[in-house]
Amino acid sequence: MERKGNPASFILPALTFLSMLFAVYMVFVYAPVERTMGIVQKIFYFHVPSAWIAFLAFFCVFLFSIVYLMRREKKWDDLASSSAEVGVLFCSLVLITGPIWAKPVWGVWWTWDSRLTLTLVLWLLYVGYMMLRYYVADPEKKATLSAVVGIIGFIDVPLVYLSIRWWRTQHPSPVMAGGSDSGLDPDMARAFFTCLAAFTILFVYLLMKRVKLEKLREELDGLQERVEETHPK
Amino acid sequence: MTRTILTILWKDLKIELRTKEAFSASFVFCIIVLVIFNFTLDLTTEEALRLGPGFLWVAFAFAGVLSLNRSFALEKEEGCAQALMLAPVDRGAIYVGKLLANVIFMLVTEIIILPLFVVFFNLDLGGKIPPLLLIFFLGTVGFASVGTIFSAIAANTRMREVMLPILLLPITIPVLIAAVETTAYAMGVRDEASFWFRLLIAYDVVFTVASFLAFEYVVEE
Amino acid sequence: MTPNGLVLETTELAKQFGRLHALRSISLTVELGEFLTIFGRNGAGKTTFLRIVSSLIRSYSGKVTLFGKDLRKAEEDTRRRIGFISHESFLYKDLTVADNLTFYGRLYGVNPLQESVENIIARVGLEEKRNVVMRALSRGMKQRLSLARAFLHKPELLLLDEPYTGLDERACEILDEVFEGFINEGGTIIMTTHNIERGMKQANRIVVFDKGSIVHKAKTSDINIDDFRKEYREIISQ
Repeated sequence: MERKGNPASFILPALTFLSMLFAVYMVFVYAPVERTMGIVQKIFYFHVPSAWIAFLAFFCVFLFSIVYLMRREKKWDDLASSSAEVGVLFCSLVLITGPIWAKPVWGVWWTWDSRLTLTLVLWLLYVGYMMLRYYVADPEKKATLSAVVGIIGFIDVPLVYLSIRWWRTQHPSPVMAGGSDSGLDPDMARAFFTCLAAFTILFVYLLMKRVKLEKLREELDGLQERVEETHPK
Repeated sequence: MTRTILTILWKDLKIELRTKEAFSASFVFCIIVLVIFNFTLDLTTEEALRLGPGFLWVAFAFAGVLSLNRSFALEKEEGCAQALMLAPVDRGAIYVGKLLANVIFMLVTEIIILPLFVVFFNLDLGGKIPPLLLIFFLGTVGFASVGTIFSAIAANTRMREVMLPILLLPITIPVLIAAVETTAYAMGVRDEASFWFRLLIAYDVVFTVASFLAFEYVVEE
Repeated sequence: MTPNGLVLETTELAKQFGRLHALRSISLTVELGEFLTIFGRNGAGKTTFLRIVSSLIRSYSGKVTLFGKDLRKAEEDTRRRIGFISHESFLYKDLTVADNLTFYGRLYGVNPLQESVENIIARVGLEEKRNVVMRALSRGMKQRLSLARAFLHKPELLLLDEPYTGLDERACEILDEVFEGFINEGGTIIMTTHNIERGMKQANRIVVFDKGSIVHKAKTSDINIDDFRKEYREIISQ
């Protein structure tokens, strides 16, 4: 049961810390303040990478679920369920930072814009995935059933996106001023990609931590069982 | 394969003809939804025509959840789900049989609700009925394709009745939007719906195949 | 039927998920015409073993040979030759006696279907209830119907998963008679139970499972039931 002294276990948290620190520097010191939106535009550097991580995480759920169904080993289920949790966390961040950004810029808290709506639907899908896991008692059954939901749910993502986008074009809403798609200043772009990289490292770190936690929980269950066996109540 | 599909279908129809549980639950539920819509929104005929497709599919989706929930609950009752897995048949065929039964149950309700909808809101849909039925069929296949496998998944959980709608409704958003838009087109409220028609068919194909392939994992012990 | 007269052979059969080892390296053989009882407390792996043999569980390590064939390669064929009885009836409450049997007969490809269904209804004495829904049957009739269901496709190997659970003395005796008849006709039985009397009564061989391993093997002819009861209590109290 080695837990300390492994040099590799220091590298990832240190890298995460340093890259996040650097990202904060890039966002608040290096990148210029946007002319029309002002300081509130800074939320963009966290909002978009969060959305990227959420997608990446749900894609990982999909991949790990497929591997799980092929191999039937618990570690793949641990990876899938941990990805889902991290994904829901970042998805929630997108849904929180989105309105904070939208209110001063667009004048509304919420708009049924296709990307925001897709994020909301994804959030619902994977909260359902986590609820399912909570309500199935047998660990193996839980793994198999949620893997199926993880796969079918992800196949749905492109269809959801297509349908929302097309729906949007047929149900026009007031034109939004100051869309963020207009070409990015090179300094801003540098800060943005730094954030993207830092968030990706953070994702890997959180995923590893979550999987480790699952392993420890399992170990604890085993110890508890042994205690109960040797010292019956 | 065909023999298994038909055997499962025959069994589900036989049970439904005797109990009428899926039908009575979803039929009464649909009527209640229409009545509530009427009181809460106080619609004129034009409004009913514009909003009608949405009403219909909200009613169909929630009523569908009711009858889908029953689909695998009845297999779990006396261990029958296990007995099906013990039988020397392809498990995918069991899925197809259950899917067909669920599509039939949902369609029967929908076909009976449609004239009531017309009467309640004083609509005139003469001539538009055959394309509407085709769209009901395509929308229902899409909804029930995921619904059938998710019913089997939900049957394994402690909160079966709650778990099915929570899992199923977000995933069926594309098919529901497509069904509403094509229904609007068939009723003459929208001029163009070829994209939605294609999406409807794509959803049906993708999820029937995916669920068919995944089903054996769901029913394994 | 099989070259060496073995109905079932498992080699280092194991089932693990994470920390949980449901089965650890079970190597076991069952010959044609044998009645093997598997004892063990809850969670010892008895039911997992039966579920693997009946291909309800498909992820395991090791090898299972049934009727001389590798289970992984001949799943559907072996399922056709197995009958499974548990404490659940496997019947649909809202189907009639005849419909329940017709349904399972079709799934198993029983031929000729109608004749076999009528024959087995007669054999279990339910002719008068032929068109009555299962829900309306008495407990005894329900049990007879569930037995008829299990025997309809003329299985060669019978798997019994805690068949006595929830049954009264009379119902248990009916089961025992049926099992005896099945063995006399050349069938093979594997049963799990924790009822020592019932489990010893007809078996010719017993094994005891604990924590997924075989901890005891014996021929019933070599066992004194009182000694075994003591021994068994020791095993399961560890």
